Amino acid sequence: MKKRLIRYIGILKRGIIGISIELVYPLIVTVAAFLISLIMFYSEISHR
Amino acid sequence: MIPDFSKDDITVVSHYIGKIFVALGIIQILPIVIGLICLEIAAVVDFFISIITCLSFGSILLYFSPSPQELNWRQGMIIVALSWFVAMFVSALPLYLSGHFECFLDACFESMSAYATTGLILIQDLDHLSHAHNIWRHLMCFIGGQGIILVALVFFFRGGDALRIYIGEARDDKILPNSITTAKFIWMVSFTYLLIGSLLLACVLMFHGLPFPRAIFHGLCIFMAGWDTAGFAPQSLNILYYHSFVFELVTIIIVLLGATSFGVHYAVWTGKYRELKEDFEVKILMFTIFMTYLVVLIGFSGNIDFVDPVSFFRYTFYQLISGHTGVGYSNIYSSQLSKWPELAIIGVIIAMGIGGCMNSTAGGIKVFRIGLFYKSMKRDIRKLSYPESSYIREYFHHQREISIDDNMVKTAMVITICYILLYFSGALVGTFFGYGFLPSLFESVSASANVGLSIGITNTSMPVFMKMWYIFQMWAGRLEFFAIFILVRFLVKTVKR
Repeated sequence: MKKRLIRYIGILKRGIIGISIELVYPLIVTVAAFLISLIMFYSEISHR
Repeated sequence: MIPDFSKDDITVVSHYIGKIFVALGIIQILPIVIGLICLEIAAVVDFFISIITCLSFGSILLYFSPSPQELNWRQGMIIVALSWFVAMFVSALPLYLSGHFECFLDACFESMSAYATTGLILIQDLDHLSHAHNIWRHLMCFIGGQGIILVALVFFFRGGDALRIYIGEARDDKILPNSITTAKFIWMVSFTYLLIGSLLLACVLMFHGLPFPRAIFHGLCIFMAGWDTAGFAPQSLNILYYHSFVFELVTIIIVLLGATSFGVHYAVWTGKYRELKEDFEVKILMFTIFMTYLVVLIGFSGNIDFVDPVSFFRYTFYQLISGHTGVGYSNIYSSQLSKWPELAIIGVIIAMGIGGCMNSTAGGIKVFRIGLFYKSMKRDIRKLSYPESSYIREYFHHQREISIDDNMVKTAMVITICYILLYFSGALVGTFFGYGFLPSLFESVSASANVGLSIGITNTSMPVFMKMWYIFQMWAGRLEFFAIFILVRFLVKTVKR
């Protein structure tokens, strides 16, 4: 049980960096999509 | 010669279905605990009846079908297909007893929707449902998203048996050499994110003024349904209830992580950070998100009637990402969605049809297969442009460098065709009952790809046959057909005997 816990904590340590990196990819997707919609919105407004 | 089904098959299948009954009975202890904490005695009684039913059926099956020899492939597949159906019936029991459903079929619809991580709902007066029943709805999403069998896998199955069951539940990647360690890893990732995600959501809700216990309850429910791309929410207004852009952003991150392959999670968690950048499936997912979003935006050109770009972004992107990842969360009313321009609706239908990554909690055709067709087409074009004697190979990176072979493409093609047929079958059923073709297609794709976005067709007053057909679509879409084909053959052979 103790061995398992140590192993889990070991994975979790690397996992914390992993989670932080994983969070970046959804943020990139969201920000990029926001930029596209922003361009679309203002190009539409400017044509009115 | 194709081997026939024997009495042994029935014994083995009964034995493992008995174990699934017992597992489902044990899991229902959690809603009882919640019911006792919230002093919801009627709900506790409902779950008590359900537990007794599960344990009784489980014990009878285990008594009459003693411990069998090792499973073979077809037995594994039959167990998977049947256990999802059995789980739907027994899990519907406490829901039906709650009094929030018009009939038992509606409760079955709700439980299949939860297990298949679809998110279409037929519950009435959701806002006054007990906490115990509400947590049970979301727990079913969590269990279904991980895979019902995956729950039992860790506790009840032997190594060799586990693999046959694991593959049957539409999970192709064995992340670790052993299926049980893979199952344990999937649970570890999910529980770690459960802790982080629920707390994050609860913090946002507390910031918006929700008291601590309510914020924790809502955070937990939304995470369980979001991570497993189910799309249930504790309130009838779904995500619209919270009126918070930050909350929506957090759910977008959760659902995108939920739609990512556990293989990628494993790689990143074990220090291979570059995998996120190099994985072919993640790249295809990002590409299809942008392309389908572009279709939605083009659909809206000339129809943009918003005061600011943020409202426009929330109105469009949230439904798109919700459809693509298969979560089905919505921050608008279904009546608003039905008024979207046709091209924008087609964009969402395509996104829903494609779905998320393989070996994730998302449904649909899966971006992996779309990428595989692209690579295969690229290889064929290169073959035609080189001399006949040259040997052309095409690779893609998915945890390792994989060379494309024709068998891989053939299997992907068969499953994709099955999905497309399933999508159109639901659309035809809807059209037959008098709904428009495009709304019927939307609802059908939403059910088959386990998304849960609704354009307004799914409600308690829709025809009984449509409810039953959607249940079948959710079930078949979640298990990716093969397990169901084998079950049908097994049932036909058993009846013929």
